[in-house]
This record gives sequence, C-alpha cells and structure tokens, in this order.
Amino acid sequence: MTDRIGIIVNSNSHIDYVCQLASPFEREQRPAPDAYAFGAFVAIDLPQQPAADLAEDPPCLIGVIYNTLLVNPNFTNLGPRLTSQTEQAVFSPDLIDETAMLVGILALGWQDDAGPQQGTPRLAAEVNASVRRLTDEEVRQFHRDPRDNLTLRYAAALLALNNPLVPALLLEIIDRLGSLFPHEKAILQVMRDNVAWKSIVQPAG
Amino acid sequence: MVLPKTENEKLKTAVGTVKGPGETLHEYTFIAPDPERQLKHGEFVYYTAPVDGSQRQILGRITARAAVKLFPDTFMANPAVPPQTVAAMLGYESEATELFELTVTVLGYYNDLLQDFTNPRVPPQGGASIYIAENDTLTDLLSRGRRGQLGSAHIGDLLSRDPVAVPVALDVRGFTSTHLAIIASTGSGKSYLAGVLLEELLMPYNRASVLVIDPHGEYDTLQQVQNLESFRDSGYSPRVRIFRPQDLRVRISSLTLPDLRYLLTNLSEKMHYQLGRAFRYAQRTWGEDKYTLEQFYMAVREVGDSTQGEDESNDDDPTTGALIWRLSAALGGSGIFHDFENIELDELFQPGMCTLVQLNEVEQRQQQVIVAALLRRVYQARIDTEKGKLQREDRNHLPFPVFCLLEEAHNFAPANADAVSSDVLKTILSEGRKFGVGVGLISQRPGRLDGDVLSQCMTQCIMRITNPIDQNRIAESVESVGRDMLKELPALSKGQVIVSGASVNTPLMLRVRTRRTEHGGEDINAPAEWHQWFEHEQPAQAAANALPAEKELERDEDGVLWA
Repeated sequence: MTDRIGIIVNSNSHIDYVCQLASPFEREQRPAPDAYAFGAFVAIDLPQQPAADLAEDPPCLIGVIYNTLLVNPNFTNLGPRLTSQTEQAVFSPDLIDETAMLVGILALGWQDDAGPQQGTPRLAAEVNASVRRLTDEEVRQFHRDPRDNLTLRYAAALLALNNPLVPALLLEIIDRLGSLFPHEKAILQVMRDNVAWKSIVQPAG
Repeated sequence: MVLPKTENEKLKTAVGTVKGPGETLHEYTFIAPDPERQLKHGEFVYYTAPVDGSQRQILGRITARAAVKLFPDTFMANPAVPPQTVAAMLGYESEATELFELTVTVLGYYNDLLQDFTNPRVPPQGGASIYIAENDTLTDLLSRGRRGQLGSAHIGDLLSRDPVAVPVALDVRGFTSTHLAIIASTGSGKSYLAGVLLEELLMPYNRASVLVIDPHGEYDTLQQVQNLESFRDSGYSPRVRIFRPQDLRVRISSLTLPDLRYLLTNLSEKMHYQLGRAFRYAQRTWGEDKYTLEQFYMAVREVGDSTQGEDESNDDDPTTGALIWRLSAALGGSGIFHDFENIELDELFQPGMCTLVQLNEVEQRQQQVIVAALLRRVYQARIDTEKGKLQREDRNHLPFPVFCLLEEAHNFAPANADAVSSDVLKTILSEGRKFGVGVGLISQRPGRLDGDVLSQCMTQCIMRITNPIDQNRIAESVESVGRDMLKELPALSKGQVIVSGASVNTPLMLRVRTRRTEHGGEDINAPAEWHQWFEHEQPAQAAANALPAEKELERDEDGVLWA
C-alpha cells in the first residue's frame, strides 16, 4: 500500500480531473479505500519546469475527490460465456484489466516554491500525472494562509459549480478540518451551519 | 504608516459618489462605504456644480440611509465569531465590508442676494464626488442670525457635529414677528430651551421686551441674569420682574362680555341675556373700563325683570339673584379681579425686561381670562400706538414691539374646547406681525393645541415627541419640517431639538446650549426626599407626637374620649 492513488486519465475542465486508480493487478500499488474516499485531499503532479531545480517539493495541484465512477465493460453483457470469472483471470487477464475505478478530482489550489495556495491554479496537470493522497499535515498546511489563519477560499468556487455533490463535499471537508483545526471550530461551525441550512433545511422546506 | 487625518483633511476627502437622481426632483442618492460612520442622518453634504459660470457648493441634507452590501445573516450565527472572520476564512479579507446608499435632499447653493438657498433644479452628475460640508461653511449658511450680533439668539449647535463646532443662532426678528412654537413632551427640555431663548432675548445685543406666562412658576431662576456680567454692556443691564399670583390684578371693568360669560359657568339663556344687557348698561352708564363690581351688581338689578322697580326687591327675581350670586362667587372673592387696580402695561413691558406672570395656584378658567385680558390689552395698545391714537403720556402707550411666551399653551388655545383666550391668541397670531406683537407657544401636548394656532407659528422648535397623536398634529400643522425629520422625533434625546421655519435657513437638528442661569424646572427627586423624611422628619414628628401618647387618656363622666 502506498500514498499513490492512481494517474490522471482525463479531464472535464481546467479544474475537474479524472483519475484512474491502480488496477487490481497492481495489487501492491492499490491504495487503501480511505485514500480515495469522498472528500479526500490529493496532490496531482505537475510537469516540472525545465529550468527548475530538482526541488524536494515538486509543484503539484491540490484537489479533493468529489466523485467515484466504476467502469465495467461486461456490464449489460449478459449473454452466455464459456469461461467463468475465475478462469477468465487465467485465460484473458486483459479483459479483467478493462474494469476500472475512476475518481473525479476538483483542483482547489496548488503548491509551488511559495508553498500551498488556494484558488484556481494557473497550470494544468497532464495525462498520466501521478496522484497521491495528502497527509494530515499537508492538508493543514494547505488550509493555512501566510498569516497562519484558517482559510477556505475555494468554498465559493465549489458552491458555484452547481454540482449536487458539492454541499455534501463541503460539509465533509469542514468536518475533516474541524478535527484538524480544533481552535477554529467555531468559525467552521458558522460555515457548516450555513451550508447545511441551504442544502438540507431549505430544499426540504 | 498612515497618519490619522485631521478634522479638516477628513472633510476635504470625498466620502461618496453620486449614484443618480432620487425619487423626487430635489433628491439624489449617493453610494458611500462610510467606514468611520460620518454620514449621520441629518448630516450636511455637498457636491460642486457650475452655476452661472462659477463652481458652487450645492448643499444637501442626508435624509435616508440604506445598506446595499452587508454580511449575510448566516455569517452572524455565532455571536462569538465576527462575520469578518468567516468572510476572511472564505478569502474576503478586505475591510470594505459595508456599502450604503444615502438619500440627500438638496437645499441648493446659498444665494447671497436672496439670503436663502436656491435649488439648482437639476440632479448632480452620476459619479460626482460628495463631501461633508465644513463647519465654518455651515456656521455661515445655516443660521439666519450671527452669534452675538444684533437680532441673533444662539440656542445651540448642530447635532451632527462635535459640540460647539457649528453654533446656530436663530433670527430673533423672525420668531418675534411671525411667532414661535416650542413643542416637546415632558422632560425633554422645553422649559430649558425656553430659558435659553429668554436669556438670549435679554442679552445686550437683543434687549427684548418679553412677557412670560408661567403657570408653574418655574422661571424664577431667570432672575439671575440681573447679576451675571455676561448680560451687561455699557450701561445696559437686563431686568426680570416677577408677578406672583398674589400680585396679579385685573380690573373687573376691563373684562369683556365673553370673559364674564366664560368665568360664570352654567348660565341659563335668560342669565346670558341679562348679563349682556347689564354689561352694556354698565358701559353706557359709567363708561368703558370705569365701573366696580358693586356697580355691575347694580346694573344687573337695573336690567332685571323689575316688578316693583326698586333695587332691593329685584334680588327676589331668581335670574338676577342667581347672576349676582355667580358674579360674586367668581369675581367677588378673587384677589386677582379688582375694582380699581390693574397691572399697567408699562409695568409689564419694557425693553430689556422680562416679566414673569406666575399663574400657579390660579384656577384654570381664571388663568385663561387673565391671559386673554392681558393679550387683548397689549394687542390693542400696540395697534393704538402704531396708528398714532396714543401718545407718550397716554396710559397704554406701548412704543416698542413685545414678545409674549406662553407655557402650557394648550390650556390657552385648546383644540377641541372653547377657551376665552383662543380667539385673542388667533387674532394676534394672524395679525400681530403688523403691530409688533410676537407670541411664543410652549406645549407638551400639540395634539391638544388648536391646529390653526400651531400652524400660525412660523418658527418651530420641536423636541422629543413619542405620542402618535401629537406627532400627527405636528405633521399636519408644521409644513416646514420634512417627513424625514419628523421620523426623528421619538429618537431625539433630552436637549436635542429640531428647529425649522422662519428663523433658520433650513430645518436643523440642534443640541441646546447650556444655560447661563440655573434651570428651575427640575423634577422633584422623590426617592431622595422620602429618604430624607426618615432621617429628619420622622424623628421630629415622633418627638412631637410623643407627648400626647404619654398622656393618660382622659374620659369624661360619660366615658367619652375627648381629643
């Protein structure tokens, strides 16, 4: 098990990437389910600047997993088969390799020599860019501004996406941050209540 | 590091930007962040615009303020978390968190020729800068009078500015000719303001001749002006004369028929008729203003239903008897209505003199008759003097204008009742200007004050009024105060006043200045006096009562206890 989750295989926009998780065959590279859970923070490697030194912290996009998709070519292929599932792994392993797990990642910021920044990134990731999960410390760093205050600048951009999963994502993020920033829990609670009211109470009313 | 701005620099910095015309022709709106909360309701602001070839400051007053940008309510869910913190967390770190749209009523530019504001009749250009008017400019433009100069009455300073930054002086000529009303609920400082006005009227630069009708006897302290140096000037020293109820004299023959009818309540038709006939008989027989009460009784008997034709037997006539009985009850026992004595006008009026007519302990109907009789005489004297009918040696010669201040004016010109003083007050309010008789009305119940009377007072000083009936009466009768200012009425504090009308250039909200003399209208401190009773009075009383208690009870032989 590693922190590596998978690679970028597609993108829907400048900030919306699709990452394919390591396949069942790469069992040793397969991440723990928690690493690609809804609301998990990840880093997407950015191409190295030619002139840049080989810094210890290569530049990367920082994003959050907001969606999961399963790809299964056999789905709806319900005709009779000569081989069973177990035999298939032996006789045509490539067919099994066609099943995949994809996760959607929203880029919320980036990290470069100046440290982590929130906002729409200037640079974009490339196909096959490696995606890894962020440690708690990295998540904490990402949510600190230069004055050491808790920051959540990407919230407005997230809400503007008009995606039905976004409110739940924000609540998930805020809950996670609540445990990482116990001293700022009150401020986060105001924001949480605000989002929860608009997404839970108002639609039901 | 940014140095704090001086007051002047602050005023020279634009505070807002014109958005566009307002709802009416003389309004415009501007947008301002106003982080320092300078743009108060009632504050004076200006923009510059070309008028007749030169740039002029177009002055206006802020009349409404609405927020156009505020934090969402949900950001204020936790009182311990300021909304700024939530906004900062979301990435909004600017200090510009609020934005306001302010409505300004245009006064215009000051026209030296007309000595008034002229409205340019065109709204400012969108995007024009708005500045707060400087103190000196306001001092020059807002007051009709100039502080300390002939005909000025410095009553306070502009409320929206620092204390004494913009002193405001009323034009004494304005309110002494076209009348004044001071309207305020109890305890908001109307007597205090009246005291300030009287002080100003007695200043060497005014030297007014003032009569104050004081039903509560609370202007005594004004006497101090006689001893204060600030009221003296090269030979001039103001006088304050007090007529206490026991000093008041109204000659019976100076009362008119309506006065008599008013004093004698519950007269039958027949009595009314007989009283009228007796009155005319008395005037005809002994001459106007030249008969005593006894003579009037005689007149009543003379004109009564005479069967025997002899005076004595006429008392048997029930009408005559009842009328004489009523006259005797109303006038006979009174110390005020007198056969011969009358307060002479030259005792009451003199330039540089304030006369306080105290009417405490005088029954209300009598108060009204006294006031009516006084005002009528003053008015007639002024008419006769002005028209040249009276010469210097004549008794009622009054060769200077006078100003009469009436406390509790709603008693003298009530709205829904007939008072004998109403008519003469209305006459003076509508005609007095021509003959130099000015009236100042002070009332705590404008709702009970006659609407015509109130609307004839062209200078209004309105203090805190919370009663909606009173507020409506003011709105109906006082057209010079805008609706926006009337909204302020319940919010005014003690000693704050809205002045509008003929003595100022535009309606103003003022802070009344401190009196030079002490204020006499203080409330009684009941808890302190109760406390004092236990400390001083009770032991004294106990000592006084102790003796009878120790005495043995004495009963007579029947066993009855005698006091």
